[in-house]
Amino acid sequence: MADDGYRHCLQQAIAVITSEAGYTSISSLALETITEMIQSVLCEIGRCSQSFCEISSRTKPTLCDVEQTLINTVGFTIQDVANYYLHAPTRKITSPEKLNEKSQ
Amino acid sequence: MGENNAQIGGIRLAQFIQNIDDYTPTIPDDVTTYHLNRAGFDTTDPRVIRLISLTSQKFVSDIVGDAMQQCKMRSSSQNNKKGAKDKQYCLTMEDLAAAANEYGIHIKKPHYFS
Repeated sequence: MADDGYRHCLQQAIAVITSEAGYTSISSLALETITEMIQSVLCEIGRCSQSFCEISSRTKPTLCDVEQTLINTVGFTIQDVANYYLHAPTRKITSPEKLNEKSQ
Repeated sequence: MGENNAQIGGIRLAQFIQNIDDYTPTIPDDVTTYHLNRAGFDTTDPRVIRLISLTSQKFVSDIVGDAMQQCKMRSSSQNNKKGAKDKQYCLTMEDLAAAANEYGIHIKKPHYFS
């Protein structure tokens, strides 16, 4: 599977977020479910932003397209995201592409 | 009120966008880009990618936070006699499904799928 590395990376990110929330462990079924949810959200934001962009006769989505999409899909405003940003986890995860570069 | 001074609840949008330019989200940019590309979204602006990464992080964080509240309430009602000594929390499907249900996500899994 081509996206196994990305999926694994997302699972690590979910582990960071859940441990920040106060959990010490997560069941595998819950982890898989959240992974599917986050993948679905990312794809939906991408699809909807692209649609907004194309309706405006452009090809590259801008911040305004994404801002409109966030309100429509997940119901967040930029202000909500800005508030979250102030206390977002700072732990970094190495992306699979960088891991591949290191191993080669 | 001038357009440049337009503030969104105290934090300027331009300042926030400038800040996320230097911020590395927990979800790596490559992963977000990969999933966005699958949906036909193609951008070269890293701020857009980071904004979407942050949004998806917030999405999960909100649901997990609600699940945590449910978990704490359940454990406090069950272990009333013993006290709250045991503080090892595990995120289970039961809590997750209840929390996601509040966000309009109805999780239904067959019982054999575990």
